[in-house]
Amino acid sequence: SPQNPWTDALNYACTWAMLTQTRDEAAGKITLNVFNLGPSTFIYDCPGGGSSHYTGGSAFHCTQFIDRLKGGLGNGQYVNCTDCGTIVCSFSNLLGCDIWSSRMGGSYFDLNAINAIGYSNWISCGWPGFSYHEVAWKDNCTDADAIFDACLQVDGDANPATAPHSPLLPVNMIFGTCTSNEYRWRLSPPGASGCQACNPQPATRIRRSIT
Amino acid sequence: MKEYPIERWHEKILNGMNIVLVNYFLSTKNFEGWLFSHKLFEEPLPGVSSTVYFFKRNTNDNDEAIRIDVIENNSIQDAERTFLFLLTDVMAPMEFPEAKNENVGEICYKGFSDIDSLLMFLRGNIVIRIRSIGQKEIAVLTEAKIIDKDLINQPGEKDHRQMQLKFDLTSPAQEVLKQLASNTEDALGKKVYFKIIAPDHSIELTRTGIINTGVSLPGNIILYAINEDGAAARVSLK
Repeated sequence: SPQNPWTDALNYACTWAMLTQTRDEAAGKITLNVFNLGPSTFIYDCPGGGSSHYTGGSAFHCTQFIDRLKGGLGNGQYVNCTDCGTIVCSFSNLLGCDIWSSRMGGSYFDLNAINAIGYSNWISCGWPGFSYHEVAWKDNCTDADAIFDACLQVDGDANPATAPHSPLLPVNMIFGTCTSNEYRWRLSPPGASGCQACNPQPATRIRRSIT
Repeated sequence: MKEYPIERWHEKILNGMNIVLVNYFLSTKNFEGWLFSHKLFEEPLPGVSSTVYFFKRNTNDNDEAIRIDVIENNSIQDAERTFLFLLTDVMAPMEFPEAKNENVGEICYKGFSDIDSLLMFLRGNIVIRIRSIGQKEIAVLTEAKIIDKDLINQPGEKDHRQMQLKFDLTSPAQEVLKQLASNTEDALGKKVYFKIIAPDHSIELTRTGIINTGVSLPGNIILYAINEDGAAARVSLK
């Protein structure tokens, strides 16, 4: 099956998830290790508007991703949310997790301050919002399900809409609603063009074939 | 919602070259100073094939590297749709800026950078995205111009050779065009692509045929078969 990759990928997945005892812990450690690949190995694609580099259509270019991990060119230094969601999804599922890569939004939603992979300034690209966002997502990829986001840190304090910001990598965090202190509320500010526009898009959930 | 001036694009395209390429590939020899790294195949949209080429400047580091997506569409109209997809299927909430002074392609956009480190353009049925992906951000305008020139270039007399193809180029036009997509090599095993050029947009060229208005073909539709060595055969489609 094209969804069964090879030993190199398994080596990385096992190393990243070492000493974990549950599937959620394993996916969490993989998320953390992918995020920590920035900025030396990967950086969020601000110049390209957040284009995909390691995914194309329904394919995940895992061979090139591993080449990059080993110090090669791979497909270059840039990644976007689709790449990060797919990487976490594919490597977690290698270890027995049951995760999808799935989108939220669909046209536009406002953002709170975020810290994208490879950045550390809470400005990242300086965009006021996203046209969509994609993360690794459990179960039915709805607002009741948990997400793993290796692409960005959200503000983990009691008021994510304002500074100061306390970096929090979303790991096994319920997507949630606009009033619960969960991922959606932390990612996007209140309002019609903010949190209310940041809806789960479960029809987009996918496990990309590994090439 | 992103709003691109699609009507203006279309108008500009109709005033430009009517050109369709079939099985187009980049000649890696055209990129002096670059080392070919690898290529990938993608399907950005159902039924649309893309070949992605990667080059780096030096073997020992990843400081300077470029990625070139060559997306071949069935027709110029399909290319417009793919181009719009390329511009909109990104996380950024705002439109890419138009590259008005770069003189590349019929339509060209650039990335969110002070230098031309990302260029996306449309020429005929081909959509190109070229960008810097190395640790050092570099401009890619020179490389974009090389590709665009290659797309529109009509081989001169010096390039014309007898080329052995697996089908007869002198057959009726629709018969010839049906053969192109399935012929990626000449009879000697050299990679080959085809370039069809019509004098204007009164007919619609596609990769597999001509959609005409019921009148006879203009008679001056030119087909080039070009192989990986740059040798070219030229015929007027009948």
